[in-house]
Amino acid sequence: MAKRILVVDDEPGMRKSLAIMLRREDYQVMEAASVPEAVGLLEADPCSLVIADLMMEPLNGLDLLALAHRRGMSCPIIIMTAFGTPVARTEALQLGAADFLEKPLHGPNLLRRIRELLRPEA
Amino acid sequence: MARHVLTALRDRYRRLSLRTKFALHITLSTVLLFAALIPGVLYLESRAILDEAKQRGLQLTKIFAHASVQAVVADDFIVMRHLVNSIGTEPDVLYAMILDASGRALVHSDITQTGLRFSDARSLQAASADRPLRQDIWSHGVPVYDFAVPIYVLTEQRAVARIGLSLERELDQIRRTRNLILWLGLAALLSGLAVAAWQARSVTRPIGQLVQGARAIAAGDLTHRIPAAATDEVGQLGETFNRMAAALTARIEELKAAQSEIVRQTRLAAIGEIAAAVAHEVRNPLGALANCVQLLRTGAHLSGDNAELLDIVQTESERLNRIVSDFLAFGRPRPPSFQPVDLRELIEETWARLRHDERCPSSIVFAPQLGSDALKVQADPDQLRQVFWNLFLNAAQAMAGGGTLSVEARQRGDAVDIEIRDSGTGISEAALPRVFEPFYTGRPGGTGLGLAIVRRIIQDHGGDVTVQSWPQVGTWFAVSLPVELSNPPWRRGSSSSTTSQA
Repeated sequence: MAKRILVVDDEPGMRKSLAIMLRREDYQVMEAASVPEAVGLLEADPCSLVIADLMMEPLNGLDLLALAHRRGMSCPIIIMTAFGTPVARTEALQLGAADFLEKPLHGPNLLRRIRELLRPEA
Repeated sequence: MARHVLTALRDRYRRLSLRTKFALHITLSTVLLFAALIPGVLYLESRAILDEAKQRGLQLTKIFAHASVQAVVADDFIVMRHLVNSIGTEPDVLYAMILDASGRALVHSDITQTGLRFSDARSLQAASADRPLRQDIWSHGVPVYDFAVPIYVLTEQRAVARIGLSLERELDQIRRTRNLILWLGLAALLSGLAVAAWQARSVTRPIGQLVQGARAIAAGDLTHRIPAAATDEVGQLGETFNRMAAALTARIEELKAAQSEIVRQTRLAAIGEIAAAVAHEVRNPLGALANCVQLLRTGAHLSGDNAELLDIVQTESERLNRIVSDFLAFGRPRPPSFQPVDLRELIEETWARLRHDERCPSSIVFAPQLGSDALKVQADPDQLRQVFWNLFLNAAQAMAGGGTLSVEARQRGDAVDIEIRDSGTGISEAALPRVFEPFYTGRPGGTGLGLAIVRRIIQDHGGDVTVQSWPQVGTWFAVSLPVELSNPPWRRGSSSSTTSQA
């Protein structure tokens, strides 16, 4: 069964290009332009993995982590950002992010990481 | 050797405190004064006392002589003895006698001396006196004025009346007076010293306070103040000192504020320079990208995902270009080239462009209130276009679900006021003071330079821009532009001018 990935980013260019890249890898991709939209989609159809941007308004990637945790969603969430400060990284990881990646994303790296996270647990 | 001592003394003197100097001066001058006056007073006093004794003695002897004439003429020894006895009882009279021409005492206050011939020099002098004579003699260890007054019967001198006046009492009085004056002098000196010391303190204490105050301020404590005192010169000095300290504090705050402003401006200018340099570097690769994208669109036949990807490339590189332009516009501002500009036309034109921009929601209503007269100002048209474009675009992007963009412009004296109001999401109270800051953005995907550029352009035109906002209600921008600018800010404060200011 194809794995479902949710891409959350308010920048259409980033979101769409990432979605196309993932679809080419045979993933099923859902797109959300904001955290509320993402939460809504996740509640309707759980996904295997979420890739979310950090900087969004009014709720950002960290808020998404908190919400997901509170609703007991267990899918791994990768946070990506153009503003990669050590503080943000620490905070994201503390809130349960599966990983913290800096934009511009390196395609092969990202795909490799996604594969690792989606591998069934031993 | 003497010079050595003098130099040592002089140094010692210099190191004394003001108070000690004061007291020293006053003491010295008082002592000198007394030293000059007291001997004079004493001398005058003793002379007066002695003169009085001389007068009294002479008078007494004259009376004695006069009273004795009858008795001498009549050889009336009983009367003569009576007289001499009563003279002898007068105060201070040591002896009294009537001498005949040969110096023999016809009568004497001391009865045992009656009939004796006195042959000492003084007595002989006295006996032969043809007019009143005074001699200063010592008798038995006592100073005495010896008076001799001749007794004339018609023109013949028959005898001499002689009295010896003891000066013991007078000398005692002189001594007592001298002592009194000296004691008084000492008392005056001491009380003078006390007054001097007290006075000195009342002057040197405020001075000491001033010294302390100056030291405190020099050490950096600008809050130090001199306590209020008298209204005399010293009190005024203290008050002036306090005012000086307050003024210093104010100036230092001013300077600090000015300095932090300078630091901020310098920092911004530096950032601007760097941004512009980077932007220039980026322009070349961007240009190449844009070319390739264009070629791919028109050349290759793309569909589906690939077409969408190419669109994204184009959109993002256009965005990059805008960012670069913003950076350049901010980092290297161009001085405005002034021309007559009709604001109404500019505003209408900007709206026309905005309406067709994809970022402008179609449900936005434009409500201009521009009046019927032309609103002409001296301005750089391209720069003003950018100002209105940035403001209109901001407004449109805040009203994603539709709203009203109202623009009101009117002339007020020698300036034009323009208000741009939207009914959008507004700006939070926390963010409002920072909206004009460069690189401060409330929106993802923005460079944060739009409003910074607006403010700089408006300021370069000699105008001002302010903002008010209410979250979820709307935002108002108020721009004022002078109709004509005689003193552009980017020419003000130029220190390289070679002509001196009037």
